[in-house]
Amino acid sequence: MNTGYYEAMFIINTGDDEESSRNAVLDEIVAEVKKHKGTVLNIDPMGKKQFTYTIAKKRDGYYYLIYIEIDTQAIQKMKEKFRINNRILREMFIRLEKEPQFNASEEGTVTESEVKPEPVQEVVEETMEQEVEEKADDSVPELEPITEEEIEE
Amino acid sequence: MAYVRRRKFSRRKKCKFCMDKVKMIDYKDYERLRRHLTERGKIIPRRITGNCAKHQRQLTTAIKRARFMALLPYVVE
Repeated sequence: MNTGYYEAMFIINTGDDEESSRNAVLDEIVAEVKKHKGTVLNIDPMGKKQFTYTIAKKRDGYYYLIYIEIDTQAIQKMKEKFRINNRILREMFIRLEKEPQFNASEEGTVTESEVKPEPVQEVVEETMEQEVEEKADDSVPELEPITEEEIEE
Repeated sequence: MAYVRRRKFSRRKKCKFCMDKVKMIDYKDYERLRRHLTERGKIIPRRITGNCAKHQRQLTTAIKRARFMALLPYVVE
């Protein structure tokens, strides 16, 4: 079994503003994750947000961030399940390269020291790439500055 | 003449994300991403913002993710 860390974002709109009905949907999500032998690492409610466009004739919804560790094969099956649920307006899974750290928990501070060597290496790589970037950029003749109005139709 | 003068005053733009040492551009930071959209909701090309290629690539995926989650608009009419 090939497991991975995922950051999932859900938009829940149950039609009413009851917290209990939202929690019921969350429980369904957690149950679905457990069914596929995944573990829920953290649930972060982001609160009610206005949409920038209407989804299923609704203008706002409650956002939740859920961090999970699960078999990569199970994601597709879970997505299908959530798509049928009409109280979940949107779901998105993003694979994380390494284990997510949560500042709120005390365990996070312990593991942070262990993880520290990793970011240093990454920074080195990044600066190297940046240098290459700048060199490449210099060879290209600078384009005339264009104001924002000009790129609008 | 006009071209020469314009070049004289154009300052080299620098990638804002490099200046802030952003490692990965997060789609949840949509207030920041909004500054890289035009009033119509289009992604501003990097020749105007001066972003580096690496961050512009991350930026476009982040904006598209934020759009899907209705945090940013696809179109503003």
